[in-house]
Amino acid sequence: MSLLAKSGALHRRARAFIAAYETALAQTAPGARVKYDAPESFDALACDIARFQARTIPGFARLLQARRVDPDALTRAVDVPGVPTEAFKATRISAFSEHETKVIFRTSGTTIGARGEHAIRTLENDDYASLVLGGQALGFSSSDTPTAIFALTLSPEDAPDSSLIHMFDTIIARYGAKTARTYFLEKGEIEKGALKVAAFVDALTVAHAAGQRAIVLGTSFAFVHLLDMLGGRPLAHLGVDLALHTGGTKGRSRDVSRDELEADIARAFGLSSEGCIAEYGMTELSSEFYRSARAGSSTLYFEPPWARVVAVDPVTLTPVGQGEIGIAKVIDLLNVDSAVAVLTQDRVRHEGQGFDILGRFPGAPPRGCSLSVEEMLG
Amino acid sequence: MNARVLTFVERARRALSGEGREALIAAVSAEANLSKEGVRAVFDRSLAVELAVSNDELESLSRRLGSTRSPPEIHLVLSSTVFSSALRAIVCALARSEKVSVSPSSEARVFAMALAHVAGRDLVTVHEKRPLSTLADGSEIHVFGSSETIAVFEDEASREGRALSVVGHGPGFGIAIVRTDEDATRDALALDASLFDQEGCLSPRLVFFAGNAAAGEAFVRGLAASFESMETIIPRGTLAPETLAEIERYASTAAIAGTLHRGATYCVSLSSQLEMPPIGRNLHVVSREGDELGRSLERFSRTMGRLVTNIGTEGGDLATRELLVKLFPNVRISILGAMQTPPLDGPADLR
Repeated sequence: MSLLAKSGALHRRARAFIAAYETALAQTAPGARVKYDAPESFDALACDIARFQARTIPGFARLLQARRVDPDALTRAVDVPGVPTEAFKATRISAFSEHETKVIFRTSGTTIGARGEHAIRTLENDDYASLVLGGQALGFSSSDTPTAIFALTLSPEDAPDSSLIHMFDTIIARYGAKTARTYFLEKGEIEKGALKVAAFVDALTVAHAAGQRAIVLGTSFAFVHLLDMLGGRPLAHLGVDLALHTGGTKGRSRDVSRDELEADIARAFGLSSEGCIAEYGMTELSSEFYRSARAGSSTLYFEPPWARVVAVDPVTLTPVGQGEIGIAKVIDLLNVDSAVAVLTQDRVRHEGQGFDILGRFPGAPPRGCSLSVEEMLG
Repeated sequence: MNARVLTFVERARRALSGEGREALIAAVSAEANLSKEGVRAVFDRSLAVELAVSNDELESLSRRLGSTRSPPEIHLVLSSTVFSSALRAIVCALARSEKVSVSPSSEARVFAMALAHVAGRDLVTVHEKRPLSTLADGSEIHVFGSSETIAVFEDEASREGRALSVVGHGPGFGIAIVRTDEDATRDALALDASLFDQEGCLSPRLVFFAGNAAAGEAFVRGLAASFESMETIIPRGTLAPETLAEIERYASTAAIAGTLHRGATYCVSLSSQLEMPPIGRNLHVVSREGDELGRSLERFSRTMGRLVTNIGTEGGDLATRELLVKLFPNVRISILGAMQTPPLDGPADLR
């Protein structure tokens, strides 16, 4: 079997997880726990993907060797060594050649440079999962009303390498009503007017007048800027039904705690506590996680059947106990062609029905500096 | 001759070589994260070189530093990581001001207090935490610490609204340029990276190796062997959990991106694109052939030159030295194996 065929077979097995969940979801009341039959063992597929990656990605094979892990002996997903997110900056992590690349998603850049790159061969499963899970979190399965969806981000044309904006675009294309304008961030400095607040308020007003349900998607820092620019002006009368924020604020806007941000968003849009939901994802992953009452919990992030978050000790990299804080190692069955296990820098705590994110791992005290050699060498 | 400088150095010599030496080494190692052998190596190598300064050299240093503005007082906020840096800081301050005070870090207190004690209150006074309002107009505050710590003092000085100067001795790191793959060179580099367990700004973290990829592979293999040997001579100390976590991430990334040689207490990696290794005993090597080495250094100096505080070379190569002086003006250039033992010639970072 060719590499492409092997990859395709693994993608199909991963897709079966999404399909099974979609089927079960359709038979479940909104907010209720979805009971589904997994098409196969999560561990079995995760380990098969790890074996595939060990044979096709030399860097991953070296990681296994360095961690003394025999890919053929793997039986549990948690034992697959995580690829640190920094590695996506250092080298290409891909099971296919450059000419087979469909898209490269990139992390947001620092002031002088290096961005992590996640090369993607096919987006079929990623988009499918985004629609199923995003639909559930945003309550689309139960909505018959045309929904106006607005994003406080650049447009896909302006940011073709943003995985977040691709996901937003996928959801908007499937569930969104036609609106005159969808994206309200333009290229340029957000502090200097790149966020088009007046146009955004106008768009909400038009949607409200048309009797449309409205949803606002955005990065957390964009919401902070929006709230600052509104200066306390309430938008509660404009019928926003849900607001979804993602990511942190540090370094991109004034630093605001998650609870404070959600309270401010809810107040500005007149939302109930369940109307402000959060998404957790990253460029290096293909799957997302939602914290949404419609997905089962307004306090914990929900793991879909095709992705798991394992809290690991940052030094031993082994799983910590239930309820203990660790670093998130994400096992993502949709990352067939890159890294099935990704070691993030996010502190998480797993609590049975889901996990909570507790901010970034603080890292060592600053000595020297943490810039990459790639950045340094230019 | 600045009599105060000479008096202090003589008192320090007596204290660090007399009966109290062993007790002081034990006390410092109980406080520091370095191993006892690591502390002793600092005494035997770094401090020994500094205290071997001749009277002529001290006079020259005093004249040179004293020729700059002489503030009414210099207050030193001492380092938490490199305990021995207190000696040099006090000497440089005494050379410039009639009044010198120190605030030792709570994490590196023993050595600084010992020095202040032998110096006597006539030379150095100790303040646990000194409000800047108690300093005379025109005084200088030298802060040995992180950028954040320096910023705190700058803010405080600015709020004072008086003529107080804050001089930051902040983050920095060393690089090494290696042209020949020899045992002595690799051992020297391993020593430089092992003294202080890379906590100091003079410690090498990156190595530019002149050679092709295969030669680079051979070099890092040999370098790893040097680290293995070094561990038996100067065991690594205790690292903070955050540092150990960074090392784990770095090791994984290094393995994925290129070649990683890892022992119980060190990592040596080779690739063209990789993050800066964390402290501990970790070196990242980039190999560059021919003229590409110079071009890489040139690009590197443009983006990172301001953070480089020490450059180790094999010496004897005038062309390399000329290039480095041009690319990294005012940066210390050391012989490999002596990167952590600069003579008492001014501030360690030359800032």
